Amino acid sequence: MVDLSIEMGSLRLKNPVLVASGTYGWGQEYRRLLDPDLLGGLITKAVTLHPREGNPPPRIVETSCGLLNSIGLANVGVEAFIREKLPFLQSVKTAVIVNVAGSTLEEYVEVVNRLEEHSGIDALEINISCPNVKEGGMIFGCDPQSACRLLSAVRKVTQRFLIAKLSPNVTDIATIAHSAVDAGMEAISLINTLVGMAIDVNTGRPRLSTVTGGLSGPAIKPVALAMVWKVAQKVSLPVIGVGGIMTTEDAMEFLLAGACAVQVGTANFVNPQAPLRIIEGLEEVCSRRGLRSIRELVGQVEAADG
Amino acid sequence: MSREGFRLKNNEGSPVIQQKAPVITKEEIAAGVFLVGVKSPQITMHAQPGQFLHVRVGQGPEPLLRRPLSIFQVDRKRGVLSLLFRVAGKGTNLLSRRRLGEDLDLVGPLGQGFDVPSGTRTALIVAGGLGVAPLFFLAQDLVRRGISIHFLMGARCQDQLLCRDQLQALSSHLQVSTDDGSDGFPGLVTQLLEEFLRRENLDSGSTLICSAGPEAMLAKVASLACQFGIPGQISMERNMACGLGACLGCVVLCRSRERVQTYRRVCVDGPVFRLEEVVFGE
Ligand SMILES: Cc1cc2nc3c(=O)[nH]c(=O)nc-3n(C[C@H](O)[C@H](O)[C@H](O)COP(=O)(O)OP(=O)(O)OC[C@H]3O[C@@H](n4cnc5c(N)ncnc54)[C@H](O)[C@@H]3O)c2cc1C
Ligand SMILES: Cc1cc2nc3c(=O)[nH]c(=O)nc-3n(C[C@H](O)[C@H](O)[C@H](O)COP(=O)(O)O)c2cc1C
Ligand code: FES
Repeated sequence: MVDLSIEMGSLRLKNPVLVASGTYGWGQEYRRLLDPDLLGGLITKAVTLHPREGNPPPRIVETSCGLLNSIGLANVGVEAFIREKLPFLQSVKTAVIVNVAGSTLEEYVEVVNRLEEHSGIDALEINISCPNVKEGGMIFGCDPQSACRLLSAVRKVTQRFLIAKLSPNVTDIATIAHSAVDAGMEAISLINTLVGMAIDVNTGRPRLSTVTGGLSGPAIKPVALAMVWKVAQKVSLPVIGVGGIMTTEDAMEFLLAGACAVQVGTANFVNPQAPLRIIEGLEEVCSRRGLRSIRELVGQVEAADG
Repeated sequence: MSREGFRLKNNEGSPVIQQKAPVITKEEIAAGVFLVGVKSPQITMHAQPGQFLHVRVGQGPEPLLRRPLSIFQVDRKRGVLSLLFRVAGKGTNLLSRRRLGEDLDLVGPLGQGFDVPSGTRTALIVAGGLGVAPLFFLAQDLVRRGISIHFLMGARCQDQLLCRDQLQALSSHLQVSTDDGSDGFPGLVTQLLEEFLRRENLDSGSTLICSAGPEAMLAKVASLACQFGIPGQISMERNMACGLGACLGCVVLCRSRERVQTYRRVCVDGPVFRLEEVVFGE
């Protein structure tokens, strides 16, 4: 028997495969195709203080081995989340992580505050990396000082396990990761989507209503992997790797690069069974290699420090 | 965004199946238009007119996403369903090259189909181009239920008037139009519809318009239906990622009964919407 469980500080996962924010709705959307109890954890769509309608369509465009989206943090808002979406999440037997976003520091703090008294939430993932809303997210994720200020403010109001989700759209990801450490975060997930663009040459117009959007999928995997490796080298916090993971091999690359766990995002659209295939695949690889625990793979890449 | 209050028909509890199903028939019925039959007894058993499948067209990461295709026809006895599609780009091109016996990875049946109220005696079905794909199954279903149908079908030219013989066999009330005048009424199918609505004195309580096709055509159908006071349902299209209501990528602007505007998802709140719901030309 291979032990697939992972411990990151006080957060225990039954296996290292989570589903990424924004690709899995509120968890129930896939329940007829995959039993959520089998997942290592489930991360919700971003929750903001007020309901958000999101950006006008077209919101998604396929590009080479990737997907550009500009959903614009559309969500029901924290109150409706608690009322309508949380009960299902409380019923699943896996780690539930709520992704939190906002346009101001006060909004983030208020969302975290309102979630405080509700059970069934194992961790919060603070999204300082959404590229698709003008005022939101990414401005906090691109500057180490504002990242630190925001994350510290959130830290003050909750005892919950806190994960900072970082943006790849920065000059040096390690500096932002250091602010997350300074602010008292307990883990770091990366990467969110990369800013990208596509143009319809027949009409001469951008393919997304917002002109630019966030790129995800296999196309971004090498970028994500490099960033995970870099941050895992430089920072003592556990890292959760995300970006283009489709297969067991992809997940293994992230674990070898130093991620303690991975998130599957765009792959869910291609094959709703992808997270399960990866969990089974990791177990098989471990038993084939005679490993007792998946943890023996983490950070084992043979590379000189970056 | 999900506003569960005003969906057409609640099929939340009905099954969604992912399975590999073999291609058992394939035919190019018009230039660039393919009719493909796949064997999938489970999906076939649950499929309703207006619902769609999310089809993995290739195998590798390119093209990445599944493609939504309407369920064109089902044969419940044989457990076979068919898809009718036009080669519009690389995904449908790949699909058209899949060979007999090869497995297609399908997810479905998905979405809210047509919901024809019990008092309906006449259905006016308006198809533009490939819009016939979701409407053929509907027409068959309605005929079986004893509802009389008038089928109006428009296409660019004569050889793109798809499945004409089967439709003729289904209903004696078939009228066609072509943009280039090569067959039937020369002009748009919405002009045919307008003439029809002027000529016949349709009872708004027992008539329903059902339509699918290009969005500009649907907008015209909606405004005519409104002008003549006939209720209707239309099938909308958007690029999709998840097909399951999770990603919020496929929205159309809609208005609720209270006239509040909100985005709704084509994949789970639609693809079939009441025509007064959709806000066109945003
Ligand atoms: C619910 C639903 C049911 C559909 N049913 C059918 C059907 O029964 N038969 C059929 O032929 N087509 C149907 N379509 C449209 C079909 O999904 C697209 O033609 C197909 O995805 C194009 O893929 P592609 O890779 O061949 O083209 P791409 O290379 O992706 O694109 C080619 C062109 O098609 C456009 N396009 C791509 N996806 C869509 C889309 N979803 N809707 C409208 N335009 C699109 C692109 O903008 C581009 O201009 C349906 C769409 C939806 C949303
Ligand atoms: C449609 C879509 C919506 C997303 N929404 C969110 C979100 O609300 N919050 C967030 O932190 N990340 C969001 N993401 C980013 C993903 O969680 C993930 O970081 C990114 O897509 C890279 O992983 P992938 O290549 O496996 O998809 C979204 C991604 C997609 C494709
Ligand atoms: S395609 Fe994802 S919500 Fe409709």
